[in-house]
Amino acid sequence: MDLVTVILNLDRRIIYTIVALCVIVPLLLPLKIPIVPTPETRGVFDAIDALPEGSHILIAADFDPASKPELLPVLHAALAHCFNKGIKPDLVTLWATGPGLMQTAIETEAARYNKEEGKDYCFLGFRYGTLAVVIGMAASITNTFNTDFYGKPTANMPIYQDLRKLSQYKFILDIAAGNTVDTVWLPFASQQERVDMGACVTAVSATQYYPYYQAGQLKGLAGGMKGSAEYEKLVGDKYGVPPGDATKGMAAQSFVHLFIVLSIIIANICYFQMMKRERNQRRAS
Amino acid sequence: MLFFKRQWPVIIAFAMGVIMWARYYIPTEESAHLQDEYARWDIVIVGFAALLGLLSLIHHHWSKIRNKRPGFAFSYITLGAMAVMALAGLLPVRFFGFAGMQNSPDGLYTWMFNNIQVPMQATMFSVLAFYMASAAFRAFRARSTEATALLITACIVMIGRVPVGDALVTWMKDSHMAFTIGNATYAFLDFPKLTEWLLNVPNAGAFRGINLGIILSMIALSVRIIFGIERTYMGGAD
Amino acid sequence: MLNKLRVLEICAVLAMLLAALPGVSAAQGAAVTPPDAAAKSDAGKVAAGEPGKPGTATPAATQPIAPRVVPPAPSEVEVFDIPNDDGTNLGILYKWAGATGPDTTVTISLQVSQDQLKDYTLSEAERQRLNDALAQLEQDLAPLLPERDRIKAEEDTAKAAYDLAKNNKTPDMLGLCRAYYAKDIELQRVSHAIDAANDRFTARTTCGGVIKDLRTKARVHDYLEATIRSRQWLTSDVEDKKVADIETKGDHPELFGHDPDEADKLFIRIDQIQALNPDVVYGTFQPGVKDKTDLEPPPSVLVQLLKNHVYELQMVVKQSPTDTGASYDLGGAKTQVNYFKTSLLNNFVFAVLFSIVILASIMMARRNPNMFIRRIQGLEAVDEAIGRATEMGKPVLYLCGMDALASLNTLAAINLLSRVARRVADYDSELIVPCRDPVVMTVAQEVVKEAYIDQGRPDSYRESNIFFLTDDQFAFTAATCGIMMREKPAANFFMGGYYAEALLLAETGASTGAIQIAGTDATNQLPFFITACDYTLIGEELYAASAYLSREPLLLGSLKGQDVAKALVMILIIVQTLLFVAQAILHKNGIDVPLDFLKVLVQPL
Repeated sequence: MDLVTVILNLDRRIIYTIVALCVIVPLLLPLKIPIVPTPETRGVFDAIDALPEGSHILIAADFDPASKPELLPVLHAALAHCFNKGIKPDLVTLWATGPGLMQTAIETEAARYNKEEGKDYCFLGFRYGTLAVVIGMAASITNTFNTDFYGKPTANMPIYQDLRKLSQYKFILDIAAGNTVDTVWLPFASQQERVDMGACVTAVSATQYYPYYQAGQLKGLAGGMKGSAEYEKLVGDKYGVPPGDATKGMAAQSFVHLFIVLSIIIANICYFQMMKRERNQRRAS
Repeated sequence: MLFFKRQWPVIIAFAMGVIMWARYYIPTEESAHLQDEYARWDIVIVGFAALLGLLSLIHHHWSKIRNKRPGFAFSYITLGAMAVMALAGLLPVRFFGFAGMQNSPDGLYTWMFNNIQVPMQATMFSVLAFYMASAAFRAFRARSTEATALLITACIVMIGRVPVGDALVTWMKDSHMAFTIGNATYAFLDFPKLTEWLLNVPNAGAFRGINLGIILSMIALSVRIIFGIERTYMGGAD
Repeated sequence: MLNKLRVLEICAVLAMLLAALPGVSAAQGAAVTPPDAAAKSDAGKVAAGEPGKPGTATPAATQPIAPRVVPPAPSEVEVFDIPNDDGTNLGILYKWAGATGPDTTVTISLQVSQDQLKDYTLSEAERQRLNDALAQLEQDLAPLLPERDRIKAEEDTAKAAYDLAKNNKTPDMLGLCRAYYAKDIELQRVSHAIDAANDRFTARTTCGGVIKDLRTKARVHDYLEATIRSRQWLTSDVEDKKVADIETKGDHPELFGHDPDEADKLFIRIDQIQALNPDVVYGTFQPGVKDKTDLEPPPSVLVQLLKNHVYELQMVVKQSPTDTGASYDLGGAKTQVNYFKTSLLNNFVFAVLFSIVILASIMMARRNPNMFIRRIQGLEAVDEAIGRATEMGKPVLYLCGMDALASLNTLAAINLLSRVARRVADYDSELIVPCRDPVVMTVAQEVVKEAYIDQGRPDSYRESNIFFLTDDQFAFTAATCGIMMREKPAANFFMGGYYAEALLLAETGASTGAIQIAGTDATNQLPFFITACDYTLIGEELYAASAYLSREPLLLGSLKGQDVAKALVMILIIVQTLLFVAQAILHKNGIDVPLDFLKVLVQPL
């Protein structure tokens, strides 16, 4: 059997092994790859950065542990951005399996910047109802979330003394693994209540949101781990925040992408070679 | 009796459909309460349905074990795991070793969620990367013009979406492998810019077209359901 | 610093003198208000328009000599009810007469009558019920609260000892850890008892109305009553708002339309008033002090404005945080309940229009049942796939998607399931339907059962083949892949909404050699299905599937209606595109004509 036949009939477990090596090796080696933020990610960063100190923003973190590597870094970066800028974020999730991750993220960032829950930020946690939650928040935040994640009543918190309804947020950032961007937050919160919005989504779903970005309905769009790494870079450049997990993952992602591109090219060369050979055989016969 | 089987569900579907549609346009407090009420009903229905689901799961696996169908040993694992997780959640068990991570009555449950469920979920998701690699290897073959266009586009986006693409641009510009239009300099192989264009122009346009069709279909299906023209989902005839 | 302030003060006085000169005062008069506004503001009104008459608030006559900078005044004021709301919002539009400083703030106050109390007044029986429940709660908590505080203190000590031992790695670390956890468990027991007492109290004091619990209702009543009794003007939810944060008319196209007249007019919305704690009113409030039920009474609560009620409004303008401010009457307006969101008018018209088009097409289909519908390959292959499964003696696997029944894509998948189940029953093959949602499972069981009965094969129906797996996304995927690998179905149907698991399911299915037909409206998963499945129904084809397979004229008619609606939208898009091109050409030739008037069709009005 010659090389062309071997490559075209390659056992997929071999491909899997190479992909695994492309992920593991760069993660173990301290490789530094320069990151250039795209205008889409810069859109999210600039929209938040332009807000005055003391503004309230809503961060909806609608993801679960499965999307942790892609989206948790951008949640950390966005929180660090808000705390550095003196912006007050409210963190909420529409996914029942999300609050555990969010709790770790917000408590870590709040401790790092010495911020107080109920005053500088609020972790509202999860409420059942998806759309009903958003419609409820449009009427009253404290009635919809009468307690925060920790069970403390929200009505008396200092942060809610000048913030009562969804329309009073200056920005909504949806960090989403599912379709909450275009089915919930964009139509029922951003468009209905006239609040600017940005989205950080998984790479696989990013393509779906470009029409909204292009139409200006999303001020920015950070897609996948690359988007998270770009956000980390932007926050790092302006506020000196050290790069997080997404930046570290970029080397692994680059290697895997390069491997896939190379394998596609090799497979196609072999494919053409095979076709040529078949043609020659046909001609000869 | 036939009325309750045939007409009654259609009447309910019509009434609820029209009420919830009208609610969207009515800004009164009562309208907001209706939405809250709907959410509550939903919780009740989901709660009871979860019970049905649980019974179905037990029934399915139990019948597999009883009939010794192929792979019935896995059913023992499923039922066992379900029992352990349920007991950990229901009983205030405190295991010193587990509760050390979170000293609360649900310490064991939380521990199992964080250390068994979460890694298993992440593992399943990461398997996607391997599947993508093998699917790309098999599918991206330049069989026709369209397939070639798809292949080239995929390669451009794959390189344009990782920092290597940016590094390539910087290297090309430094090595004078670039051209100038007006004041801007472009590298010969500017994958990130090409990716940006591909995502913002052809991709966004195609998605808009598909979405438009989907949304109109949704309206048509809703109208069919509200007016009782489509009753297949009720199990009845057309 | 002091000198700078002094210089500023002198400048201000000079400015006042200049403004007082004949001729100059007429031009600048609007900017100037009474000199000692602070002194008079306590008494209520200082300068003003006529109450109840919008747009008439003008400052009083100017006075030439003033000891400090006089605050700017609102002019051209309009007070009005805000449309498209639940009937509790008032809006204020105004302009500044005079310059504002960076520290200038605005507070809106309202005159509130006893009517405001009506929603919060407790009946005699309710008051009695509340008092009884409160007495019981106090009694329950009396021994628990000191115990909790004691254990908390002990736990803190135990934790400190453990942390110290942990840092120094002393041998008694494990013992100290056990002691700390024991205290923590003890604390949780007491906290649980406190929570239980509070829960019992809540169960006894739940009520209907605007506020759902008696204690809060009574608190709002008492706060409001004390505040109304003590002062004429009650502060609204707009308190000390910085002028820089005040939005303009142009910022709210949903209220005033696009490009309204005087778009730079300032806009303030109010819908709540602050009711103060009686202790705050009487000056005896001590922050941080808890009552016998372990609650810290808030210094104030917010109360919604009444519907269909006339309110008189006042604006207090402060130049600095220490300034007591100058107040201006703004007039009054009535809050009105609205029954239709006019901002959604275009949306409503579109929805009605499309529904009519679809219903009309259905009517026409009844008259002319022979209509052309393009061939959908994926649906033509349904018979082939089921036939192959029957020949091979293998089952057919059908997934209804990952969404709940409320999603239309799941309903479309269920509709198609009914058609597929009929074919399967016809061929007497086996159908497996794993479900992610128990509600979907129940409906799927019913649908398949009916299909088997309709085809005259009720004995072939097996309920245990339509079962619930789990609602966890990836656990469901793993389980379904497992079924595919073990049972090796000859045909796989993936219909409905899918997320990241799409490729996992389709690739596993492909590796077992099954014929695969997918149909989804999850646009970002389409590439994966197209790569790994034999046929894929793209977006709207999924919704058309049931109608297509049934060949029912009424259902097919709705597809025609959809096409008409789509053509209409396409015409609109093309017309607007041409208009934009024309606008660009005109702009190049120096003519600026906005040709974007079609946007009223799609944007909130």
